[in-house]
Amino acid sequence: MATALRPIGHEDRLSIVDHLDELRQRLIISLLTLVVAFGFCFWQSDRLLDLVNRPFENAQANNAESATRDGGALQQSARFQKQLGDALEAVGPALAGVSRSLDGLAAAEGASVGAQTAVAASQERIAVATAQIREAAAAVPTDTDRRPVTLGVAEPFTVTLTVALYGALLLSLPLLLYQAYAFILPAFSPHERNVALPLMAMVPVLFILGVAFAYFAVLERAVTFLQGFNDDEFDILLGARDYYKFAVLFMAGIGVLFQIPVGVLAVTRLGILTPKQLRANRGYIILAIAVMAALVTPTPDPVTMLLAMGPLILLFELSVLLAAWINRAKPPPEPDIDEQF
Amino acid sequence: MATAVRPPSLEEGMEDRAAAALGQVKSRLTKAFIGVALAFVLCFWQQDFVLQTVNRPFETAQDTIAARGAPGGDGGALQQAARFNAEVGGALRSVGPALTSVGVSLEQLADAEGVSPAERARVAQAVARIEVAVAALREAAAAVPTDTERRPVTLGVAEPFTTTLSVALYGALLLSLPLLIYQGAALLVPLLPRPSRTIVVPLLALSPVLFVGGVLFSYYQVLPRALAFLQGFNDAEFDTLLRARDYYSLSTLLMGATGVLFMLPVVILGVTRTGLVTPRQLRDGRGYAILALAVITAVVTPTPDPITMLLLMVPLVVLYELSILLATWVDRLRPPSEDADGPGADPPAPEAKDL
Repeated sequence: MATALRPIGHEDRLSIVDHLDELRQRLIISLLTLVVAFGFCFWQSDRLLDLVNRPFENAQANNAESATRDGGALQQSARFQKQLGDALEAVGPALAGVSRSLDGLAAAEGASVGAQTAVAASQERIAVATAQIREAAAAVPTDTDRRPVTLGVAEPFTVTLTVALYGALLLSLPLLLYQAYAFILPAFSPHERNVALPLMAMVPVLFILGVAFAYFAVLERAVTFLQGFNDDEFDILLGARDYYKFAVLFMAGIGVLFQIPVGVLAVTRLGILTPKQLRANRGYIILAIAVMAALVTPTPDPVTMLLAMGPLILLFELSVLLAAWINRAKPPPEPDIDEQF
Repeated sequence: MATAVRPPSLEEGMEDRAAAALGQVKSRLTKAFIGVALAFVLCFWQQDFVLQTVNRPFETAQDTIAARGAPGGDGGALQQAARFNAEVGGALRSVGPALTSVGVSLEQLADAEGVSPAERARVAQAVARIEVAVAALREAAAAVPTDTERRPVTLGVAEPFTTTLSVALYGALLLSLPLLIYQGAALLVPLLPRPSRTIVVPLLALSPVLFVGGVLFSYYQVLPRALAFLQGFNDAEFDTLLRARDYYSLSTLLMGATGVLFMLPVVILGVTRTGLVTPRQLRDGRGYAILALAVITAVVTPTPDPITMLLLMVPLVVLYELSILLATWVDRLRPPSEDADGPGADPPAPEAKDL
């Protein structure tokens, strides 16, 4: 096992069976990791789902705020319940005040015995009513957030499984990538390895950065726009399966787009393109980034697209700078040609 | 394509003509596309109106269902909640005045002699609280959901948006239909031999009118009934929600199909004017024609009840009879043989097949 975890040296000559053996071991390790991560995610699935649902909840809050018109039946009834609770809360003290005033008035001179018993009876009833009103006001639904809707018999279960699996993939991504690299790396020449190794280390970091960026900055806006569209004309519910698929695709897409620096550094370090060339063709590259950002962000509004595009351009510029700096420190040799001969 | 029939005289001329034909196709396509795009922009801009229009049969159907279900069953949880909210609103509206008058009574009682200032202060406090409560009650009563209509439900993340887009597109197609037919006709009619042109052009002019007539008939008459039947079916056993995507595809299909069926007179006039069938034959075959219409309407209407089917079938039969009458009348004015006697009478048949 220990040997399986370390990459094999470039100079080692292995038979095909040895390679297959290594592959099997690496696959088993990857699978085990995934299973453990999946178990963890499934165990904590309520927290995981809370986490994934949060952008949707925030989007609902945004849409409720920006709702200018009277909203649909669902929003109206939520608002009515809140107002009803407020009214009940105000009615309680009013009744209590009435009760106390009646008491005082009855105690004043000149009240007959009959009046005093009537006042006592009404005080008792008011006390009961006040208690019930207080209970009712306390029971006003505070949780007006809608949650993703499931419609299938097994959907709550299968959707949880799917989300746990995606979570497990994200959690175990670094280890899975390490296993893949360790298997491939021996095929690289020492020079190629010097280029590839830092880039490979960057991949999971950038991917997770992209996912985090999508989760915190973009997803909420996208869901706000899409779910708030024409909400006067539709009763907008959100199917759980659809939402999780959308969220996962979206986050993974941005995670992949965040790999731009890896691409830039790879082509510059391998001497395919110089940083100067990249800088000269900046216009085309920004256009390509814009197209990709537009494809990944599912909303047609320019704000979400620009939001996704900004960091991508920043990453591009930063990696060109980095590439230029590395090239100055260590110019990319032309060993590609040297080594081939 | 017209050149293909004639013997090629000069290759250059052929090429020129082919280029001209292609250019014409391109310009017609461009115009049609621009027309659809403009109509789409208009429909998307007025999306509220378009969606409200398309939702109206559903709302009508809901009213029908609600009216039918009122006396007997207690409806589902959704209907009960709506009724409860309305009743609570009524109660709130009457509690406010009751409290106000209690406050007034208390004040007047306190004004009587022999009430200590402390008691008066207490009454004043109670009256102040009553005012607060009445204000809150009034607000709550105003917030009673007025909108108890259910709307088509969206479930996908992007469904509100994509549904709006597709409805706007359908609307745009309907709006630009006359233009589309005109562009298609302007492209194809010059290829027809002159005598059949006189038959085809009026028919083409008739077709958008008939199509829109069919769509309107379906929208006002068939769709609300079909929806009331389908959505009201066993509604005590289901929470019946209507998915937006489903609703729009069903209503568009039904309206489109009715529109196409309403173009029946075009077909009948076409076959009688070209002399394929005489009006007399059509009249003799009436039984079969009505049977065929019954089968087609049964397939097109999504409900298995005979009422919706008959509703769609009756105007079709009327259209059938009317167009036979019209064909007879036109034939009497100008017998079809006269048209077919023209110089290009025989070539058009194979040419039409070529197209």
